[in-house]
Amino acid sequence: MATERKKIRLKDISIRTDEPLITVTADDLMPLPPPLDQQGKKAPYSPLSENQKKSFECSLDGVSALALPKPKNKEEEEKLVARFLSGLRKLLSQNDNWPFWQPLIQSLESCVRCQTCSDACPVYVSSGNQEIYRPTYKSEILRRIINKYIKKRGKIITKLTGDDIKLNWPTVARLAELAYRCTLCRRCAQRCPLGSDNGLIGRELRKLFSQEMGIAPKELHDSGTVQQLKVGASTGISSAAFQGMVEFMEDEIEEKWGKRIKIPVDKEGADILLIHNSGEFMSWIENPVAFAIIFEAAGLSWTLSSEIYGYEATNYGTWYDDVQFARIALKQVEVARKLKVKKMVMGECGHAHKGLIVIADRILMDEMNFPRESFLPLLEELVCGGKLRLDPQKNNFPVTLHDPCNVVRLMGIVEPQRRILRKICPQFREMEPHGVENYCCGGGSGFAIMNSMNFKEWRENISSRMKLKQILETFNDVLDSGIRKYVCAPCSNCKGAIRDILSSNDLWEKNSIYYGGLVELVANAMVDMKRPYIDWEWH
Amino acid sequence: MAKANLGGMDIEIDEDGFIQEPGKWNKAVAEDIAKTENASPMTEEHWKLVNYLRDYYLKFEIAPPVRMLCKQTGFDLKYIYKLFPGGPAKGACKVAGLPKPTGCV
Amino acid sequence: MILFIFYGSILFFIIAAALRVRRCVSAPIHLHWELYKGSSVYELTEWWGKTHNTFGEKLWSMILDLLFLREFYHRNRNFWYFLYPFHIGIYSLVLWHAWFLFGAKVISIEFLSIWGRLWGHVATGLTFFGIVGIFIKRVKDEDLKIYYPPIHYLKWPFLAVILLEAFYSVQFYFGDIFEDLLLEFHPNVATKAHLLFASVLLIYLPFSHIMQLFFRYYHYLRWDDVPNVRGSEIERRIKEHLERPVTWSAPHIQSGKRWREVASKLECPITEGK
Repeated sequence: MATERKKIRLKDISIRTDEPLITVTADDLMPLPPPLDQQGKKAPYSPLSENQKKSFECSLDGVSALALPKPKNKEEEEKLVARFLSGLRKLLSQNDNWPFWQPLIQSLESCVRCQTCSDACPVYVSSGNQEIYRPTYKSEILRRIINKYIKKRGKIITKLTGDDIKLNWPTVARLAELAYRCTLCRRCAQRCPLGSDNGLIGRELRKLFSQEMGIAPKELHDSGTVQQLKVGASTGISSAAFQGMVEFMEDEIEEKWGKRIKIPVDKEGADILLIHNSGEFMSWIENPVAFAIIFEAAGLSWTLSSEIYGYEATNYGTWYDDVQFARIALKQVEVARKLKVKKMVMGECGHAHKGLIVIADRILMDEMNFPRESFLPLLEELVCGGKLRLDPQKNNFPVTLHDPCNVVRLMGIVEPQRRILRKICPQFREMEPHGVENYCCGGGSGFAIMNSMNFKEWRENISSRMKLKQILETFNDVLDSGIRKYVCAPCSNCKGAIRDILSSNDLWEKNSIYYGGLVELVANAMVDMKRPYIDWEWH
Repeated sequence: MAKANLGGMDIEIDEDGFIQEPGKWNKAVAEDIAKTENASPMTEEHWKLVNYLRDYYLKFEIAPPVRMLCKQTGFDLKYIYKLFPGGPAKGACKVAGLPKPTGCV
Repeated sequence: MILFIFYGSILFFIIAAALRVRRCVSAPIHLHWELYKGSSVYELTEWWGKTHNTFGEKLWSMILDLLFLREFYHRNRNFWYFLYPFHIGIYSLVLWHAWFLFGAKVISIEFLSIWGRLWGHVATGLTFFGIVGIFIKRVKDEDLKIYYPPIHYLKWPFLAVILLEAFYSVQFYFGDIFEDLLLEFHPNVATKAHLLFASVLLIYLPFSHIMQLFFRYYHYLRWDDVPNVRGSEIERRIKEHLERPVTWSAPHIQSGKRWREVASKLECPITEGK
């Protein structure tokens, strides 16, 4: 802990200053277990360059997730504040915000300020209990702004119920950044005895900025949902590029499995349309390859789609914008409907699970209300139902499981992945805590792909810190570099975040800690593979 | 948006140094970006990688999958990091004048 | 006069509480946003044909939560030590009043004045202990102090005063309360004061966190993952919402059109071009 840290109060959010409200220092950080306990003290993130400081708002903690330009003058500031207030009114109106009005109001009204949630938050704890990262900090500020500027119930009541926030541009700018210091893992909401959801409040705040003011991280909006609606995928993969990748996958399959197969693409009337996060093709193509091998070996009737929107499971709208969310979900379902498949199955992508299977359930009407499910129950049937010839000894190395929040806490798929791992990995061991009590990888809600300026450093050293600690603790008896270890993370976004913490701490080079998905382990255990499926090479 | 002087031209770059005007890319520009990426001077192997990226990009408007890149150039990932310490995406793609990778990669 | 205020406050409480409940019940149906405490139906293939949690299961879980404040017990034990006596005390005081009012006609005054008084005092004692503990913690404990709006620092002492006054009137005017108030509707001074305080409390109650208890369970029981089936009531309600105009003003939204037009398969101008 730092020696004497300035105590941050709610009203500090309105302070007009050139310096950030806080800067997290090396001394603040939660310590890590071996082998990182002896690490030299290094600041968790570097300050922005003078140029960046001049152009972008960074008055919260010296980090910029949004590259929010500084207003040029007082009028511009006032205009932005007015737009914020108009957005806040819409957020609180049943008519304008029907998709989330009820849970939002419930969350705003039910908090008793018992702060039970604070210790549940990996960002708050990892950063050494920075007040601004407390799950209730931004919620309470929002509550008091509403109290003072929207409810207007007379001086006395306002005073008694809290009126200490001055709504000015610094407040709005800091709230915008603050909405992107929470990964929406909703561990705090799980902990709340009253059922108040500070994660949702964060998401709704993001939505206000996006839907009313057009403010969102480039990675999520411009090159995320907008690009997906334009080209078909948030990676920019076009239909033509996708077809080339499928050919490449067939070559890989031949090399690993010794069989030349034709991966079914656009096969009308197949039982299953499998949709991957398109990032898998770019960075972890072994994942869709393993799916293809397993599905073919089990003799399933399945297909991929090369139609625009049909080869991309992501929907970043889940994290910040209801309108973009709805647009994308409808496009994806439309592909499946046209292909006349029996159901859509989500590959290893957490937010696509929660987004398309659960959240979208209440925007898909009539024939668009199309059967959608997770790959996990299906894979469990294949692995545990004896449809594949498996030899667990091929996976005889320590394996641990990371639970993607979207699949586990936010959707209740807890056991199938464990039953699979117990069956095929003799040295499977749980992290603590796990299941619905798991910690986020630190890359949740888009953080894993937000890399601009110093945000990546912030993520690796603060929001992912708890996961890093858990991984090291789980493997603490087998840290020796002679023993290969595998962190199984069945979600593209989590994989990206875990890759980054392992690589920036040299944990593969020094301690042989590797990471990957779940189907890769299944393929690795298959008896009739020509050579081991896992290469231990792509770190 | 900031501008940088690359290959004798003023070119718009984003906050991570990726050029925003793909039409202005040429070999001199690449050599200059390589200097900021600790990949200078560029050898034949650097160019082999960059040329492959360019060809793929001109065809599909994105970067190729990492594994495809390794297979087609014959370089393993470790070697790519040796050539471009920033790695295939942040290093090699930047030098090749590709846009910053997007999506869950 | 005092009775008039008292009955008025009861009426106020009922109306205000009903309005709050109505606001919650009539809220627009929202998108799925649940949390799960363990395995759900999504662990099964073709989950849409399989049963979700039954109403009975949810109700049972709610009763246990209310009776023992399980969440606080597991998550915030130090606070629970005071919160629990407070709640148990309040529950028994509510029961005590009901018993007292309804029992007045059938139970002998001797029985009431011994056991009734004992019950009342124990319940008051528990509540009082809880209140003092919570208040001290709210003042001393840094985590419980921050963000706690000023009004609550008035609320707890006020509750304590009501309890003390109630204790006083039950201890010293028990017979009078019984005869004057319940049989002749003619309260004495101490009881009058109690009725006045109770009226203030009743007026405050609909705006307090106690009402949130209702919403929390409404939330767990009703905001649950009931799937949207074709032709269902859920589908009908959502279709209504899709006819509402989208009012947000960012450029990518296309403000003014209906949700159906903005988001549906029929029209999406963003895809033009490629």
